[in-house]
Amino acid sequence: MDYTLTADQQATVQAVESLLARHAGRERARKLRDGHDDELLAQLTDAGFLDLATDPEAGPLEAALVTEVAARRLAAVNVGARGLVAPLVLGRTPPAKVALASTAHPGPVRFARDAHLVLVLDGPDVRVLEPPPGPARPVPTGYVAPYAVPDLTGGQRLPGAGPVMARWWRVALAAELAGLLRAGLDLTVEYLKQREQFGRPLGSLQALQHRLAEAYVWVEGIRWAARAAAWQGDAESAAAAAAYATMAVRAVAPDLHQLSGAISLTEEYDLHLWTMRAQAVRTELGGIGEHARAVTRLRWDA
Amino acid sequence: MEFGWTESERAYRAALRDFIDHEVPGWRDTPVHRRVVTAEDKDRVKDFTAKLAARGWLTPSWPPEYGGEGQSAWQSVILSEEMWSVGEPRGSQYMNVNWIGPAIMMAGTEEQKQRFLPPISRGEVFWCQGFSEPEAGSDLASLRTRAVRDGDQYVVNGQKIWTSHTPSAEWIFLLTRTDPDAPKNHGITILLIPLDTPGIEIRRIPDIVGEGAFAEVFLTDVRVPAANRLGEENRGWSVVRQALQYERVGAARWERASLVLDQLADRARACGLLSDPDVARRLGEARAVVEAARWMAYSVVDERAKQISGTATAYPARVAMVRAERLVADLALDVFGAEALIGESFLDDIYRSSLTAGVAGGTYEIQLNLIAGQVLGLPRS
Repeated sequence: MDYTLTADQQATVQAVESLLARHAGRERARKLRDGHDDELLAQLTDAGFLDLATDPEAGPLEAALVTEVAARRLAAVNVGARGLVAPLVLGRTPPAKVALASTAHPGPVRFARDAHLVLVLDGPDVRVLEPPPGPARPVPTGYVAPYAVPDLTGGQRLPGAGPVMARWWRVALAAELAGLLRAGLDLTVEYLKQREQFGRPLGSLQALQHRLAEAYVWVEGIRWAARAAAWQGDAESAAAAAAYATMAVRAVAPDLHQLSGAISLTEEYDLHLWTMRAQAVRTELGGIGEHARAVTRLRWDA
Repeated sequence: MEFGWTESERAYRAALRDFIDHEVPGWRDTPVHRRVVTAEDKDRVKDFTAKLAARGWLTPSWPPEYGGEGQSAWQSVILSEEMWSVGEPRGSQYMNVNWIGPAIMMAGTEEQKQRFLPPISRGEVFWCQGFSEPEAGSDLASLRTRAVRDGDQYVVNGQKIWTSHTPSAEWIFLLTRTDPDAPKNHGITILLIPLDTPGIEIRRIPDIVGEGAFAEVFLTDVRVPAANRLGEENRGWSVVRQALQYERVGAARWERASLVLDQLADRARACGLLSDPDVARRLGEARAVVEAARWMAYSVVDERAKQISGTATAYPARVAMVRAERLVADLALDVFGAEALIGESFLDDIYRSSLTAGVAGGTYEIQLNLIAGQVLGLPRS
């Protein structure tokens, strides 16, 4: 065990951080709303940050670290799908815009609009829609991410690839939630430090401090569970990380809004950029119940 | 960054398991937590710890000059996991190893080290911890048990409470107040006292956790040689703080919670409940939370392995562990119903032993305070 980033990992994280500081962030996310960031995608691709999962010098953990940072910085790019899931399912470099769908969980699909590739989890198999058979129908949403209903018919079938896709999808969504909730918590802590009522900062009230501390525990847990699952690469750790991360969204996201009060329900205030995305990610692959039942199935062969 | 065990760590765990299976036969069938070593099973524990000592597995984390091997923090946590998962067959001796011995190494005189450390490393002695008082719980530094110097002795008067392990204990690691006028952290002195010293009376507190979980210790004019003082007078607090650094995630509760979940799943399967979607979901959620608590505990071990001290990593790890134990306990009652009420059964043990999780070793709320202040940097309330 070693919880410290290697020098290479540190360098990767720093490099992607500095790229995102220039090309992503709150302003950009607010401007894009539920749009896709083509420019950022090009930057990330050119710099090689989306090709780490199958890089012999790096691997899934590095791809998960990039996913975590990208989420924290509100990248409007499907970093987890493009950088982690698709390369590991396909064993090759996927096209630029990737979306992930599941026949067992129909509905709008994140990043499906204009996707060059849709990977469809279809029971034990994966179907590769490259390109998708028809245009995806955009869906209006307040969850600050692009959603559309794609045509999921046809495609090339990869028999038996389903579990591989489910596993890395779970790792990717856990890593994404680690970044999203961490940033939402950081914002809330800073806000409660300076927001004064009754003549003192709200953050000095123990009732509120405890809830922030509880939130911190959830968020810290996702970080390690996601990273460990990315490193271990087994289905059970992935399902456990996803179950924990989605439970954390359920516990933490409403509390961050509650603690911040009415301002946090406005578009003007940035909290929703992270929390609404987190709620969106929470719904993927069937959400808490499906992840948790997967843990049971995998652990106890149920 | 990596999240796996080395070859030698895996081999160490396997060897420990073999040893335990041989020495504690049958535990896998009924892994009921042995909460407290009674006077009756003290010999059994001593027999076990002596054998551990003979294998070099009682105090392997100690430095070589005190008979240890300077074992890595990761091997130590493996040892703790394997012991805790079988109900801690070392009894209270785990405390000797984890912090009482190290406190003596840190603050003891040469004579004290020669006197106290060898019996600990041979597995012969049982200690208990005299910390909490009726008026000093979470606010431990406000303790009042008074020690007054009288020639080459101290005379101790006061009361301790919630003292675990008294039925087997021979010695008490006692915190006393020697300077009532100093700021509360600065007037505390550690005394090492045989429990059969005249003036010490122990009363068991009937409790709902398990028989004999804790006791009150009354001290009336107890005379203690000054040679039994550990460290300088009035400087005990810093010794305790440092020694307990290593105990903050000392008990590997996650390992036991994980094992208990495995057992609950087996039972659920046996009564056809494992395929019930609600039961399956709850088991999965509980396991996810237990494993997250494990990864957080390991983040503390990682710092220990790198000799990074003074961080706040242990506080969230402890909170996560309490949550995990509570989820597991809820499962026992919700899934198995009234069967879980049968005294002394495996199921009964789960809920009742979980009750201590958020209290023992510093409450859940104190951990939240520490996170709020030290990690999140929130202003004092």
